[in-house]
Amino acid sequence: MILVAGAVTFSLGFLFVCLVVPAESQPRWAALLLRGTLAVGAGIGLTSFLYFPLILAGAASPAVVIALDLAAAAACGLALRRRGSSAPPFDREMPVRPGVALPAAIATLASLLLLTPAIAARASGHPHGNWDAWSMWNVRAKYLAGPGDTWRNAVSPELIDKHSDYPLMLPAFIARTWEIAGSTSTLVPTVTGLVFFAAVLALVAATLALTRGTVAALVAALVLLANASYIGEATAQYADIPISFYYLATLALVILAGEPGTARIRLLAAAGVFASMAAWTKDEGLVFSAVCLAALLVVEGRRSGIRGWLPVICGAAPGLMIVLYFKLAVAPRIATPLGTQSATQLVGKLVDWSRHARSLEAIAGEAGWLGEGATHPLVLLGILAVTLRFRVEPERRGRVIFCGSVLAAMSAAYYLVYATTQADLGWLLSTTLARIGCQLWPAFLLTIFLALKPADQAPRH
Amino acid sequence: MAVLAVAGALNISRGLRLLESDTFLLSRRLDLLEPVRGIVPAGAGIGYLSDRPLADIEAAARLFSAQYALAPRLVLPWQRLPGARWVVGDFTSQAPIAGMAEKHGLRVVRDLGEGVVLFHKDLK
Repeated sequence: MILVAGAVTFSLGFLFVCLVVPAESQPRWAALLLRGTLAVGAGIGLTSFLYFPLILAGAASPAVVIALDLAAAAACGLALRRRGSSAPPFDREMPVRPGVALPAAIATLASLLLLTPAIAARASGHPHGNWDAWSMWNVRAKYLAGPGDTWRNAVSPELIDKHSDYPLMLPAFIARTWEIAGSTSTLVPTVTGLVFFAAVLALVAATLALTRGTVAALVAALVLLANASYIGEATAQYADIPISFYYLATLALVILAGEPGTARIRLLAAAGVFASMAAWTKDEGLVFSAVCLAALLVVEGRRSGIRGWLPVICGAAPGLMIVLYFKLAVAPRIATPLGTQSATQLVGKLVDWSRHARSLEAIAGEAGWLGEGATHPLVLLGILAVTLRFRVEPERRGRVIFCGSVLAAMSAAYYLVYATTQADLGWLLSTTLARIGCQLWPAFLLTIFLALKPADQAPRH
Repeated sequence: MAVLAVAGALNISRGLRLLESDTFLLSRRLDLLEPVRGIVPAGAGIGYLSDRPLADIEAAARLFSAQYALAPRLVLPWQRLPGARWVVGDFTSQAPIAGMAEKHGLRVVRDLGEGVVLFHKDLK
């Protein structure tokens, strides 16, 4: 039954994604990979959204859950049929120089072959995940999947140490799959975490293959696979890899929407949907969706007036309404990391340079854990920056600036929390910095590779 | 650069194999608490009694593992769930279980071993 639940999830996601993402673009493998990876994230997010009202209504039986998911898939299928065909392809031709692409492909394959058995072994020997997985995320999923009113335990104010005010994307999806499967198998959260990890890798590669060429895609995948911290999170069963996927998917769709000849409106609407899924995943996603959607509204408003807002708003609104309803009517009121501090206290912390020194020292220390010596991913990016140089085509500059601005705003928001938190700063830094870095890493890589000159066009030294 | 990246992946794969699993003996705790799932109804709340302060990381791990093992039953320190009729005692010291039961007016339902006991508070 777990396979049935997975198949229903993917079918819904795939039909939804077929509405917006073309299959005929070149390279074809990248177009198919893009559809497949977005389908995974969309399917998980949509089924999680659909499960939530069923819980509230006390109607979350396996038959009802599957019926609702299939009805949503059928609605997407009908919409697809009515439109006659999917979106127009991305018509940019990407040069491929086999002399460069082949070594990059071999290296990427080698990295995958080295890491896959190690990740699989770690996942199977660690079925309950890391601390937060079994003490928070998966416990909440068990409450949601329980009989009667046990779902209320997932939002109990008594369980403040379980962040019972956090949005429910991941626990609701796991609970929904358990509900269909009829057991609380550890396979579900384990595979969900690994699927998101694989989807991130594939989405970075597919987006770059369609916009910057195959070599850029392969090299970006290589750098992603050289980040020890990110790989370590693959088996943690936390929400940080899923949220990194939704950040990445939102920005990737904004980038693709700017490619010539694409179904811009549909891609922007899909970006809105994925932004709302980020908000449904963690509180940080609420900040991301606010920042990203505000930036999109400014950009699209300047381009097309208020009409330019429609696709973004239509895409994001249904999901955000569920998130807001959850936050305002269901979740317990729990103090944010900023707490209930006065303006004087906040300003006092902001001008306390010792706090900044501690934060910056911890950030530098955490960056050191991403890799070792010359194989450190930031060193690899440095080598690429020196050898390839940055060059952004004028027609793509706006989108690179957009992605960079969103990531800068997110980094600033995270830093502001550290600077002013009521919690013990040392504890907060030591327990969250690595995961915060993981949330932003794939979107950061995508932005950097969009700005780097593709290796196919690099000057020979 | 590609060679360095592959070397990085090799380092990471080695590191992953060295990571410690089950630091808090979670699998053992799940096995130990499994009989409680067959006795206490899924919708019931369960009080939790410990002889260690929950600020201690190991004591917190024991509470959280009990919550994970027994979900969807809500497990909370007993003082935060005073109406609970089922109570899990989780003692690290050699505290006399009978004495603990008497002190709190509880009946021992099952001694699960390793200091873990399922109690019931009977109606008078």
